Amino acid sequence: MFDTFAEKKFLLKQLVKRDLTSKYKDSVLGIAWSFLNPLLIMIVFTAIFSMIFGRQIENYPVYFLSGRIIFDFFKSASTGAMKSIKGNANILKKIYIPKYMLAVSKVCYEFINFLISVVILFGVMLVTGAQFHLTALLAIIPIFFLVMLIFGIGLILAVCNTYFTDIGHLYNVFALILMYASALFYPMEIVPVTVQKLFTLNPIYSAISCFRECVVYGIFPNIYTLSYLAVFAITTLLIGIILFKMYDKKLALEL
Amino acid sequence: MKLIEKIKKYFKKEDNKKRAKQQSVPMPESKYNNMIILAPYKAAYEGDDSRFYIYTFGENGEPITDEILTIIFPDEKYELQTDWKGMLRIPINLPVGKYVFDIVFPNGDYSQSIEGNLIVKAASSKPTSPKKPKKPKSTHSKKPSKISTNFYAPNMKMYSKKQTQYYIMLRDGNYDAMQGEEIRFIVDDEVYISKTDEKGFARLDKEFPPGKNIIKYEYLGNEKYEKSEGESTINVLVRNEDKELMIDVEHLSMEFKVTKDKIDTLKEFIIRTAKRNKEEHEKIKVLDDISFKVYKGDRVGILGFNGAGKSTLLKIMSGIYEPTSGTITTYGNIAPLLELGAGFDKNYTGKNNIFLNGAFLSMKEDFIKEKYDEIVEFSELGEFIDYPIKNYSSGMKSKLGFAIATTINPDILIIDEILSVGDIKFRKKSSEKLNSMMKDGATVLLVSHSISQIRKICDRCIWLQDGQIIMDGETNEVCNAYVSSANGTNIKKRRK
Repeated sequence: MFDTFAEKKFLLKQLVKRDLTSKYKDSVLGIAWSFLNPLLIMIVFTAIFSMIFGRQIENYPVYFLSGRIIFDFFKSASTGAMKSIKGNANILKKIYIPKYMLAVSKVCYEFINFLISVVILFGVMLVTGAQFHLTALLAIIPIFFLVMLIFGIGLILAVCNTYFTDIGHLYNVFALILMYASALFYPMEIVPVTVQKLFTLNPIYSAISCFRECVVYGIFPNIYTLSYLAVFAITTLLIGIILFKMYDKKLALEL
Repeated sequence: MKLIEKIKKYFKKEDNKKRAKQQSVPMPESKYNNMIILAPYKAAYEGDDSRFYIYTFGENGEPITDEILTIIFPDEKYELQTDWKGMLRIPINLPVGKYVFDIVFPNGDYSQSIEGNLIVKAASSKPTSPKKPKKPKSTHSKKPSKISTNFYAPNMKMYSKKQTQYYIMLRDGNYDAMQGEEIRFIVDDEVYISKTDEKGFARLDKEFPPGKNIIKYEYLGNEKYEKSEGESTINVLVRNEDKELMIDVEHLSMEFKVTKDKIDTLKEFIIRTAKRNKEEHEKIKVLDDISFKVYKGDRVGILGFNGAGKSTLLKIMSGIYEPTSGTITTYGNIAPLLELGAGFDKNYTGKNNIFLNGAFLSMKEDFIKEKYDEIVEFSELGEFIDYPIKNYSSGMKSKLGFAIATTINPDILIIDEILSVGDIKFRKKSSEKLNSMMKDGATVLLVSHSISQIRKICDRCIWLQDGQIIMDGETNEVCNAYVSSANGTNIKKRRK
């Protein structure tokens, strides 16, 4: 069962397809929502906050959107992975499938959504007349580490959430804190320097700032921030894999 | 009456776990543990057609009847069956010399051998005592014109091997061997011709398939002798060790934690940890140290009252649960039919669900594409295949699920109480499909509460109760015991 790569690939493909089709089922605009959603949120935020921070931040919509899509990807992918085991309880109780595949499929599905929003970002950059930089290609590096981080956190949360249902609610609050600590819609300069140092410990902020540096500012990402993100991501992934392996066999009994 | 006694015995033994475990071994080991084989030193004469006898009896001194022993001489091998006295006759047809031979007898799955000795002396040194004519229980009255003939052709049980030899002896009315006569063997409408040797034996070399084989033989006769014919059966058994092991269950135990109020919120967890009364859950042993083996082509039915652990066993076998201790090793690909259509997405069309469910069952994409038409045809959904599954009736869903799950030709088929779904037409179709898979050599594990279905499909049954194997053996035997025990408990309840 699921010994070969081809079988796993097909499973992954089907799971991602299932998520994609079920997301906009019965909605009139369908897949267009994937484009509209970040765009509308950007417009709302820009309308509200560009008044306050407009002077400090050049091209506010791009600044906001570049942070927002990274954070959205992180939040929805880790939440999806967290709920993947419990949400598929009826299948896991009846058929044997490798459980981590469910988490992997959620991350893949959210990654596709992320790619769509990257397209929006480029669209907004084009409309607002922002400059395109070659360093945008380097954005692959922080995104790669971000995906690792998401996998790690997703696996850890999936195990915890299977044992304790309220991890999900707790995580929502935690994600809100993370969002405010990520300098999504305000410039980093407005917070006190001591708090700024605290913010740099937030790996999501590291990912966002690296991404902005590559895409928006056209400079090579700060090597310290990037390496902090890399170390954090790899450690989390290792912990996630080990924890998941330890509990993999017991999870079915908890469903 | 016998059955009730048997069941009582089994229940008594339940207290004594070790005894109970011994009971679960398919072949009664004890029969051979203290088997005594007497193979006296024997001196025979060359060309003497006397027989060499070996006696077998068990520890209680009772002869072991109808069992096959293999006698291995350096150049020749006999597979012979003990008669009702536990006696075994080896026809001696050996040149002068000293012989040491092995007597191999099956002990459960293994063979054990002991040694015997035989000395064959030259015929010239034979004492002059005239050979006693054999005393036939001759009730025949000789016909003046033709001499009657008859065959010595025993029914046989033998264990399968590549080449099986079957001897029959042609004798005349005085029970004297007839030499050089032509015997026609007819097996499955094929005719084999063999001539009798100086001792009257004609040999048939043929590979017999496992199971009962009927051999017809005839002697056409001539001016002097009458025509004679007859038939015998050869039951070719397959030793367990010769069969391919498919499922090996070793000391399997499964425990479930059961709590009256399950701790699944963090708050409760923290509070309880602080109060240190977290350990409130009980453990329920669903399976308790179960061991058995299933071989290729076995069709095993699993019986048991509700909560006996049948479904848990199947779930462990299909990899859904991890056992608390012990192992299950399976060989070959498994098609678990635990619940049809598990994992169907109700918003998906039938077509999409075929692919989704196929992926869940670890099939490859190309494979599903290839089998797609077959699945649709088998499920009889027609144009409904393009409708979302939420519009399907439960029968339609089951049909589709069954069609998908059985597209792979599985080595092991695990079925949990699903054959009773669908209408009569579909039931007939699904049982046909099962039969064809079984013909292809699929090993079947079936959980069902329908005894008649188990009797129809299975050739071996395992009766589980409270997580232990109560009985493991031939279907009818186990089913009868199971049914009468069920009736027994009913009666008791009524009396109360």
